Amino acid sequence: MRGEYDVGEWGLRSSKLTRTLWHILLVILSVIALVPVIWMFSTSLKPPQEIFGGGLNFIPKQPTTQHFTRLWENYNIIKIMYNTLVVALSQTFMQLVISILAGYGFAKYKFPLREPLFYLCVATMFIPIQVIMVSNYLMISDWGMVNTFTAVVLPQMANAFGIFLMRQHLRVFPESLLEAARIDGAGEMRVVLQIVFPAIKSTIVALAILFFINNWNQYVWPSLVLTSPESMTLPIWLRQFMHAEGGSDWGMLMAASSLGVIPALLAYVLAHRQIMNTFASTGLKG
Amino acid sequence: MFSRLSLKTRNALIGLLLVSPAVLLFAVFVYRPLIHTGILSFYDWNMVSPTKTFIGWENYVEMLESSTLFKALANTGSYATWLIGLIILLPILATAGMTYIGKRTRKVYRVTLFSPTVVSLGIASVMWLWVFNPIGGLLGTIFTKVGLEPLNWLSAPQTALIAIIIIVGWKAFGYNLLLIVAGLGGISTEIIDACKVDGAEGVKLWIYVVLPLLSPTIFFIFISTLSMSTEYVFTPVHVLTGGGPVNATTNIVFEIWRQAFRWFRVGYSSAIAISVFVVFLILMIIQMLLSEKVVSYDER
Repeated sequence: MRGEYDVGEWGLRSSKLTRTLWHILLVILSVIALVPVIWMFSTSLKPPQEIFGGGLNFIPKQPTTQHFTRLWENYNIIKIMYNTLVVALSQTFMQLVISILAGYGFAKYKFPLREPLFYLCVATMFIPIQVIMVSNYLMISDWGMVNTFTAVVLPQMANAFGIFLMRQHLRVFPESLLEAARIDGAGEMRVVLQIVFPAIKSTIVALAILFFINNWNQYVWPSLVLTSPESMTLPIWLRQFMHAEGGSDWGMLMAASSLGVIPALLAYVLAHRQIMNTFASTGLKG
Repeated sequence: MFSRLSLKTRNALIGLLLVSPAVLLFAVFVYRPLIHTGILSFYDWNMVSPTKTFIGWENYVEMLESSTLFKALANTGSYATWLIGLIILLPILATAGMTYIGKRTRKVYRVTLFSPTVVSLGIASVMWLWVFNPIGGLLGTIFTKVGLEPLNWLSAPQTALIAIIIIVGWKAFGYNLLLIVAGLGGISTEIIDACKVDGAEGVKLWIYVVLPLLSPTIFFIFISTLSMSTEYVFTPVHVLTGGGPVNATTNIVFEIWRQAFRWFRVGYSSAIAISVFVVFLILMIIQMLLSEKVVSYDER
């Protein structure tokens, strides 16, 4: 795997004019990518009169944390953040464990129906969640699990992409290393934990970051099974708050949005290289 | 515990044990509901009543005759067309531009353009609602400053769909851009050098050499975009418009939700869901077949 994804160093020649035109296109796109997020952060720190004052200032003239304080005092935003974090972490952990186990099983063991089972697993990638969500909702609701974290995590614990990626990585894992450990009398659990795990650590870390961002951000399924404000994750709560009472309280809405965006953006800033590599290496090598 | 079995049986058992959590979860939470939805699509049921009435193909017939669903289908076409342009063609163009730019600047563009990808689509929807807001919102303020009437984007049927497309385009652009960057990075410098020797540069180089070599990536992007598209057209509509105004933003994926959870027509919703699944399957198969025929793979 290359250190960093980049277009090739082709040394293509171009006139100054065309290069300037490319820069203009890329700068416009970059501005579109960044400005809404900056505008959101900026609004979250402005007092109400400044929000509706009609100015285009991105740096608040009188910065205030009043929106965050109100979210904390009146809406128990800490609990919402806690819900989001617990759901995201536990879902990430379960997805990782199941991906590694299944990836290892499919890559290194021979058993009846191995290929069909593998394809059935991977094919779930192409079954949209919206097709199956009503039936799953009915079942979760029958089980009396609505408004629990289990309701969110359980149906999403197995992740086709994770299983596929792990299998691809483990297939090329040298058999001799595993055999050597087994001959030394190591049990299967020890082989996995002491030989396989350390060798593919960087892939697992990358996959974990990817899962975490996706789980922190997830919307569709939690929006069905989390219906009471105490159990909601942030994106779900944000919609509920907007439609219930905060419809035009943009300071509050942007403060809550910022709280939802910051963790994912922070993870990105800290590990952007790894994240981009993981995203980019999805299936192209398969 | 397996020590008395032959090595082959033992290995088979361990293998099955390892994959069983994944297989069982998929069976219960993907394939069971798929079949269940198929069965429900032949019933009339309001989600709460203890009795379901079998009505055969009636849900499907109603679907074909429904004007709302026709509108949803037409909108889905608009979404697809715009999004192909915004998150497939535009990233290709932007990445082409990046090959003409110095390494450092290129990296800044790449990191910047990818960043919206990590923002939750649900939160991005609310963030953009504020950008679109006529009073105090960014676009509204800019419009007022240059002397235009600020648009109320999401309340007007003409602009609501465009607004949703902008939100999705903003969120999804960077992901595909990165995949294309990775694809271009995989094309060997020697090929490009050879072309330069032969005098192929500029537009010619791109159309006759680079794009054909990039075709596996482009096909992959079509498939991955299709598989993520159901979330793209669901979440912003669910957060912001509920399908309105006057059905302007609804689409066949959102109708699954709306029929079941708004109007409590589970059978009808299931019929739409199964239709979406079948169309999805057909599109996937077409893409796979096409990719085998058209895509050229160089030997790397």
